[in-house]
Parts: sequence; C-alpha cells; structure tokens
Amino acid sequence: MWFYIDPTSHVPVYKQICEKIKGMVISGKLEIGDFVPSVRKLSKDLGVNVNTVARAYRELVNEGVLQPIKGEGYVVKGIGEDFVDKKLRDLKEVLFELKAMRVNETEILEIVREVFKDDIRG
Amino acid sequence: MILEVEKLSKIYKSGKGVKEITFKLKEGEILSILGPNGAGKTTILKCIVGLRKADSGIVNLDGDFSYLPEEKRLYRWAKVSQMIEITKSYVDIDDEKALKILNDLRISPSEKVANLSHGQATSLYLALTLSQKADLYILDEPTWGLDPLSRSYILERVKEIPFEGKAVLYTSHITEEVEKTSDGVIIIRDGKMVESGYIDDIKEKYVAVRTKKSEKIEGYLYKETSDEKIYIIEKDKAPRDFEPANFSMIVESLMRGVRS
Amino acid sequence: MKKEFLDMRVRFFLTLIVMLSLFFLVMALKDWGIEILKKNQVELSKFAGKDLLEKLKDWNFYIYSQWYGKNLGQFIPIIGIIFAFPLFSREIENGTIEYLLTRRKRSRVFSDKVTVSLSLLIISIVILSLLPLIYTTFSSIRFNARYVPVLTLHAVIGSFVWYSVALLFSVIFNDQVKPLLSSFAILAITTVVGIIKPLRFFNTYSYIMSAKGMTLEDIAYSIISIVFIYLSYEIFKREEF
Repeated sequence: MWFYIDPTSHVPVYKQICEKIKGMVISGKLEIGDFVPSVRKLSKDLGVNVNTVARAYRELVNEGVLQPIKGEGYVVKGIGEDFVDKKLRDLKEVLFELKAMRVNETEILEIVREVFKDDIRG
Repeated sequence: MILEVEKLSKIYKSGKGVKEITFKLKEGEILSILGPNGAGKTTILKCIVGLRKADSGIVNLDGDFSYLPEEKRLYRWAKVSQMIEITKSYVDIDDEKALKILNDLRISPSEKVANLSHGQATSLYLALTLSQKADLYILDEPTWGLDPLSRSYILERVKEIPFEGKAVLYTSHITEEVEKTSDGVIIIRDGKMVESGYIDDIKEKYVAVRTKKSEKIEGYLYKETSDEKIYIIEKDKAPRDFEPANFSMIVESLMRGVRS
Repeated sequence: MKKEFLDMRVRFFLTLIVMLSLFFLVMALKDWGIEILKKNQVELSKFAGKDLLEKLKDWNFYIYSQWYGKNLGQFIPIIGIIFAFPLFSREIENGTIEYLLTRRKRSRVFSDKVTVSLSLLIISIVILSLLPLIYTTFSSIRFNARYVPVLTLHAVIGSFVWYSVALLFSVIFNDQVKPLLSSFAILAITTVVGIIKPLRFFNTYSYIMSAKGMTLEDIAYSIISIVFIYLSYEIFKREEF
C-alpha cells in the first residue's frame, strides 16, 4: 500500500491523493522519471473509484507533477510550479484551524521561528 | 451514461412525493441518494425500476438492472437454495458468487426463508441481487438491519462493482457509509434535491463559518451553542474567515435545511 | 412457472383430497341416507314426489342428483374462486410482488400465474367430474355416463367464470381477504337474483347442474370469463406497487 486516504476527512479524496504523491516526490520516495501506479491499480489499492484517481492524476498533470506517456502510464515530471502557492494556501487553512482552536499567535510564530532558525543564522 | 433521470416528479395524494429529481450516472460510478426517512428516496428508485409511474420527467436506463427493494420480502415457503434456483429461472445469476456471499455471511442454503431473521433475509436478498448479471445495481437501504460485520462486507462488495464497469445507485441515511463508498451523492430533503454532485466537489464547495449569536449571515445552520452559531456556506459566498467543513456537517446542515 | 405451482400446491392438493373424500362419503352413505328418508316417508312425499325414494335407489339417479346435482355442483364456483383469489393479492400483501416484477416482465408474470392456476383448475374439475365414471368402472355398479360429458363441460366453464371473477378481484385488492369475500358476495347475489325467471342467466348454479348440451350459455359464460381475464391483465399492467 502506497499510502492511506481518509474518506471521512474534509479534504476531498482526489486532493489527498495529489498531496500524498507530491509528498512522496518531495521526500524522495518518488524520483523524477519513476512511474506511478496505473489508475486502475491505485484505485483498487486505495479502495476508491477509478474516476477519483483519474481526477487526481489529471490535477497532477495540470500542476506539472506528472506526465502521461501514451501506452505506458504516468511518470513523475517534477515538483510543479504552483506547488509552493498551493502549500502556502494549505498553511493558511491550517492556521485558520488553529485559530479556531484558540491557539495563540505567539505560539504559532514560535514554530515559524523554530523552522527558519537555521536559515536566519546561516 | 447508464442512467439519466431528468426532472422526475411524483406526488402522492397525501401531498408527499418527489419533485424535479435530475441526475446522471456513468459506468463505473457509485451514486448515493442521501436523505432522512420519508424524504422520497424509495419513490425515486421505484419509478426507475417500473414499480411506480412518475407523474412527469424522463428516465433513461441504458442496460439491465438488478433491484433490491426497501421491503426485502421473499417467498417464506422456499429454502435459500430454492430462492437461488427460482431467481436463476428469471434472470442471469452467478451461482458461485451467490453461494460465496451466503457462505461468507453464514447463511445455510437449506434454511427456510420463513426461519431467517430480518438481517439474514436481507443478506439473502443481497446475495441474489449482487450475483445477478446487470449493468446497474439499484439498492434501497442495502445495509439496513445488518450487523456491523455484514454491513462492511456488503459495502466492500458494492465497492467492487465499478471495477467490472458496472454502476451502483443506492439509498442510505448513513452519511459516513456513503462517504466511504460512493463517488457522487444526491441529497434529498422533503422530496427535493438540495445538493448533488461528486462528494469531493461538495467538500470543496462548502465551508463552515462561526458567528456570534447576534450576527446575520446567509447559510445553512449547522449547530447553535450558547454563545455562537456555526453555519455551512458556499465557499465563494463566505464572508471572511472560514474553516473547512466535514462532509457529515455539510450533509446534516443541508438536510436540516434551516436557512438564515 | 415452477414457482407458481409451488405457490399453489396446498390449494390444489387440499381441494382434491377434500372433494375425493366427499365423493367416497356420498357413495358409501347411499343406503344409510335412504334408510333415514324411509323413516320420514310421509313428510318426504309432501315435498318431493312419491317416487323420490324409489328413484334414489337407482345408482344413476343417485349419482346424478347427489354428486353432480349437489355435492360437486355446489362447490364448483367455490373451487374456481379458491384457485384464483390469492393469485395476485397474496404476493401484493406479502410484498413479494416487488421481487417478481423487477425480475420478470409483467406480461410474463401474469401469463405464468394464469396458465398454471387455470391448468390446475381444469385438471381438478375434470378429475372430479369423471370420478363417478372411474369409480363405477372398477366396481359392480352400473352407471350410465351419458350426461357426464356435458356436465363436465358445464363444470369446467362454470368454474372458469368464477375463477375469472376472483382473478379480477385478486388484481384489484391489496389483501387476500377482500377478493375472497367479494367473490362469494357476488356468487350469493347472482344466485339469488337468478331466481327471477328472466334473470336466470345470472344463476350459474342452474347452468352448472343442467344437462342440456351446447347452448348459447356455454359461449356466453366463456366470453364473460375471457373478458374478465383480459380486464385483469389490463389493470395489472398499469398497477403501481
């Protein structure tokens, strides 16, 4: 099993698939030139509808992460141009969630500082 | 397109019924009709399979169907094995599949229908319906009355159907089940469609907004506590900071239908 | 079609068993019955002719009057009704009609049910009508069977009429009791109405027990039955469940 998706999450399934695959590309589990599973195989493995996987792959093609090769399948092309913007939007969403959970701004800025700590010094 | 339903309407003398139901179903898709009891889900299915006649609207079914009714009644004098035999004389049944489902759900072929519990009778009916060779499987509350193990077993069997290129249309009032099984959904309230589409799209379409009690906002009320209200609103109509909304929250709000 | 037979087998076998028992009772109690009547000879001669007692001693008269004219005769409409009344109403009441109509065409459902039940009805009526002939062939009783064919024909058509009446009610009503009671009600009403001479046609009993062959009534009753069956089909085709 490549990864699990949560059908009851508020994140649409096709989006979860996109995120997971992009995550694997970033972490190096998937390298540029690797093939991702066929639509049919992934849908069977994840227990989701073929259309959902197809839609996820379409999105990834649009974002420049995957490239379809006729007769062969989908191959990893790169990280994708809009990926950074997308990640920032996701971060904003998470921040709203934390805000709703009454998490303090200072707490969050602490984390930001921690993450960028090395960069500021170096 | 396996099934096209356009503006299907049927009103009973009591005043209840369904109005202008419209949806499409492709091969390889699972579509659920979600709604509270009495909302009209069964009426829609009965009009599609020919048990009832719609007042107006079009139903285009391109292929054979296999139907599981809401009232799962079979011939009480028959043995389970006889029911398979009888059904086989009417439609094309995959014997092995039927017997496997019965075996997995622990129903003996020699048992009489009259001696089956409600859940077992439902399981038998499901075995007969799912083993029938058809293009579209139309199931009315397929998991109602089943124990949790049988329920997840049946949902797994339902999820396998798209891989054979067939489609499923089923009704339910359990949102979580629908979320785990279906691609698309039609949400019915008082006989009218309040939302329809792929579950993924609906998750993206709606968001949750919290407001103070006094504040005026346009949306579907989800919950009201002592100091705040939570509304479900379409994302592009949302006023300001919103949060993502769970599918159950969205469905509950739409089904409750309390608009502000 | 096998399922339709299985649905019906209790009615079919029970009817045959009950009627068979009745027949043997009638045959066995001939002497006993005559003895009883002998004791009340005076009163009897006031109601029936003086010859009645003598006539009864003759097997021919006895069989024709007691079996065809009474025991079997009175049951013919009832047997027809019994074979038809639950045909559709039982499945509708039990809910199994939903199973059937979503797996088979309505026309096929209707024709299967009517074919099986009508065949079994005709078989039953024919057997019961021929019983005296069969029985006397193997016993020492001399029986003149000259009226048997026409009585059998009348019995078949007579039961056919009431079968079609009960069938119509079975399609119209959603439970089993209403078709049964309605059919019996119509039977009672038509029999009573038929006492009035010009309306004699409505009294099917007089037709069933008459030995006049090939009359207009044969055709008339048959047409009525066919019309009722056709009506039942048309109603069933449009019915909603």
